[in-house]
Amino acid sequence: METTEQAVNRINREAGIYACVECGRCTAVCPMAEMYTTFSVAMSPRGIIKKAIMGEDLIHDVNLWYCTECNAGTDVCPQGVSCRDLVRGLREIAVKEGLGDKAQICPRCGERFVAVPVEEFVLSRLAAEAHGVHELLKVCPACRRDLYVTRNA
Amino acid sequence: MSEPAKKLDNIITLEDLRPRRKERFFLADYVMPARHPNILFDPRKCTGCGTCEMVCSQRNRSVIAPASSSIRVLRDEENGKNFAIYCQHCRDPLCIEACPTRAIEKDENGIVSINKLFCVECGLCTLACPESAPLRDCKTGEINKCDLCGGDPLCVKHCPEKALTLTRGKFFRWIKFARWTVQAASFLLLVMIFVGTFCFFKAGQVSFACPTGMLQNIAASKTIVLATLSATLALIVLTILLGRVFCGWICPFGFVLDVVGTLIPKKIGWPKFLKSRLTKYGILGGAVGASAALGFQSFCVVCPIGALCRSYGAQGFIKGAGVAVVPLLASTEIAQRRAWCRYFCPVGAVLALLTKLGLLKIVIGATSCKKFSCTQCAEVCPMGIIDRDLLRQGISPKIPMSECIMCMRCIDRCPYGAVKLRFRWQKGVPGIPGETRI
Amino acid sequence: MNFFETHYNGKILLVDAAGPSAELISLDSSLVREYLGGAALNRALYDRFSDDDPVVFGTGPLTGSFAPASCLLVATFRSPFTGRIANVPLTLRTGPQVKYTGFDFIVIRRKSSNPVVVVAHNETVRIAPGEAYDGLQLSEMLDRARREFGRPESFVWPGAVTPSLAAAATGRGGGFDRRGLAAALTEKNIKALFIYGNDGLPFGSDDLAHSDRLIGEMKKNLKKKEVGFAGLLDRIGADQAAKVVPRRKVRHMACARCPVPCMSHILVPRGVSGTDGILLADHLGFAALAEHVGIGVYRLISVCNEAGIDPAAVADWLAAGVPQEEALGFIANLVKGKENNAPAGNRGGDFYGPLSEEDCDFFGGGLPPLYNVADDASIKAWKTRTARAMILGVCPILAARFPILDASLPSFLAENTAQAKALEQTLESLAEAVIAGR
Repeated sequence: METTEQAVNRINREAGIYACVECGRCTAVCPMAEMYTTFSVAMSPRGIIKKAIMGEDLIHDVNLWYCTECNAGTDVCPQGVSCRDLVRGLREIAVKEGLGDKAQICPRCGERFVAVPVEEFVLSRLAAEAHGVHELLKVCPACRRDLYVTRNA
Repeated sequence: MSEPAKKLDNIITLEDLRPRRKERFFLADYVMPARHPNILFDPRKCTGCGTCEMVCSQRNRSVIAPASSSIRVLRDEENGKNFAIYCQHCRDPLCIEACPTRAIEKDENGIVSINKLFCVECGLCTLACPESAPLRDCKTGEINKCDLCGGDPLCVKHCPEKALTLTRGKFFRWIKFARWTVQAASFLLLVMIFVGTFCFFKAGQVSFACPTGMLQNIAASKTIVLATLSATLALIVLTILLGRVFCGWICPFGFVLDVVGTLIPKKIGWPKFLKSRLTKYGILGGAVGASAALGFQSFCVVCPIGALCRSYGAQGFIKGAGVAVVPLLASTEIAQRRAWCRYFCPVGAVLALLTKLGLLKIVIGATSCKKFSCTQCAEVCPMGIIDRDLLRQGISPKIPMSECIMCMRCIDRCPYGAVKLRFRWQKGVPGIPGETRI
Repeated sequence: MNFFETHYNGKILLVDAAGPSAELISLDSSLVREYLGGAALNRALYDRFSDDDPVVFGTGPLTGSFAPASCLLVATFRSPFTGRIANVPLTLRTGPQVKYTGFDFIVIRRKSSNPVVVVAHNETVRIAPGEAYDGLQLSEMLDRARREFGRPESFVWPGAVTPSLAAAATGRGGGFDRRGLAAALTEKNIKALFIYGNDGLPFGSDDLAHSDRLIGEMKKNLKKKEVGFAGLLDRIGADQAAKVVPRRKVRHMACARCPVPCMSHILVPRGVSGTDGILLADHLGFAALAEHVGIGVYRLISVCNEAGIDPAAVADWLAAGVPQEEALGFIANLVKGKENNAPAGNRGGDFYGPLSEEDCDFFGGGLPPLYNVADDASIKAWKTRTARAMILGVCPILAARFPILDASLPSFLAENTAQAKALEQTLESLAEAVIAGR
């Protein structure tokens, strides 16, 4: 059984963060800049990668939970660093460590499918909808499809 | 461990520049509801063969790979249900709202599509859609969403069971014309020709009376005359057979409200503390009680329907004070449609009690219903009894027939024929009862 | 013949249950040219690994393509019941899913010492411990698999009970296994096989149009009452069974890319079946049971499907004079893992008429016999068509029922008439070999 530190090292290696040249392309294309008015260096993929390289404790960091796990940064990186894989891997470790209070769990199947800040962003965008719709949006997509079938087929 | 930085107020994001939908203030701003193409799915015909997934994926990825298609057939062998999940091209797409890179757009044909140039595959559209119709391709990570193949969908073309059909919805809405004609004609008849006949009318053996007036009459005079009872029979039978058709199609005051409401489409909203549909039963009880105490039909003095019926002609305008109640109550239409009928009308209250014996029901959400993507029925309902929130969650709302005035606007408006008139004992809408909650 | 490139992934998955370990070996194009695929190539692979007592799952060249009813996966193994080599057709989505997973053939050899579950997913295979799957009924097993492996699209399940009575199931309706595929898998200690993948399969440019034309012609020849489970029961002369299956308000289910659904999901009262609805897929098992118990068949078949028992074996008990309630008791004891004194069924059934036990080996003894019993030529034509379909990877039921489908299958593979002719010849000799069990 690997320790948390080993696991973090493995994720770092797999995401290829040590190749980072700090060009900042990932941050330039990151949709988080549009999503959060509080967007900052600490939250940006560049900041996260830098912290990971410096060996800072990201597992306990709130900034880990703002990412949407999208493809943008990974796509444009000239060095093949995958900020998505880094965040996804670190989040999985955090959940295993019992620090997953920022991970939204599907009430139907119990699967972790989105981070709470991301979900809050979606809900704030859909603020005009009634409470029932917001409750529905807290179910994971696969379960939501199943639910829709039981309601409509 | 570091906290996120403080919010900066003076940053203008592209979000602030996003065009918002225009509100409609006057009749002149009215636009014909657009008839955009859309795919209809009939779960009763679907066999779950997956041909739609195959042909769709070969367009997305040039290979047959159902996992990469923009349509997904869910097969429930336990309950015998096959259902296709695909983009409904909502009128109000939630995915557009949620997309952080504004990669999703709705074009002039109503087709909602993802612009792959801007899509970063974050999957927020999948989170925002009530049906989760944007599907993530497990192989490539891309988000695939139906774009109607530019107007000629392959899945529709190749479905062997014809379970998928392309439609623009129905074009002609004839109930609207029929209802306005009947309403105008009955207004003419009751107000201008047979002045005052709605409240009470007797010609030889034939007599007709308003049931609410009759109830007050009984209370006031404390005698039951069989002749007056039978006089109310016409309206009672009509209501049991067809529901509150009187309110929607015949009532002259209802016609006035509809006309005012059509001229002023923008509503300012009704105060919350007056939003109880039980008020009208209270007014009915109060009217009957007051009649018993005072010895005359107390509500009839202020009844807008009666005032309207008696207003025409020389003797009518003499009772100016009585007629004043009509414009006064008609002005409530500025706040909410048919607010008088919803909350106060005791004539409607008697008819509402009678609909408990009614034979008809209106069913919303038959198999072709588009639920969250359309919600036009909820929009047109003058009584506000169609729950938009439930439709948004994909649940078929139940129509309380006691509140329904049978104007049939929902039936008329539904482009896909998913609102139906049924007998009370007939089968309702699909779905497993009791399994609709999360 | 270039179809090797477009219709196969070129990979054989070799699972060694004793390790447990797995390896990928490439599929030789020469092998494909000689044996085409399906039952014929399976036999060649069986012979290659015959020392390890393998179970070979094989697709045909058309499996997963746009050809009509291209859903077949054929399992070839030594039948524990008869000792001869038998083929079993596996339908629903198993065949295409094997191709989408990135394999063409799956060979499982030797025995595992512990119960295991084989999960083939996206060109990888996982041999998971299967203790938890021991003795689970079908719905429990599916629930567990859903949680553990994330919604597998298709499965092969050898049942929860004594292998001598079990029939391998690919869906909630059971399967077409009457030759002990379930027993063969249980011998290897394999509790379930899950197959699901996201890969794609290339296709010919005019495949889709050709297939649609063919489907159109097949549908033209089809009367409405011939569709569904009851329609096929009619065709095989199971009148007693056809009587108890409703024809209206039934949802028909089809395998992948099949235009003519032959399975039905029907709603029966809870008192009759013990469940609300039931998927009927195994025509012969249902017919054999209905011969003896009439409407009571629903209760028996729902219990059989849940436990993975072959309904034909239960029919044999009933034929031997076991009352229905006692048969239910036997099954209940079997499921609970208690000792039982149920007589072992020999799964005869007199539906095959003039066909001998050996004759039934090549199609697993489970397919509905769509031929005229009195006519030798028609029996021969049925056998040939079934064998050809089992080689090409198309549903044998549909190929036997529609001569036009059978005749045009090679045209999906051949590019010109010369190739088609050569293909026909190969196919003819291979079909003969398959029928003879060579």
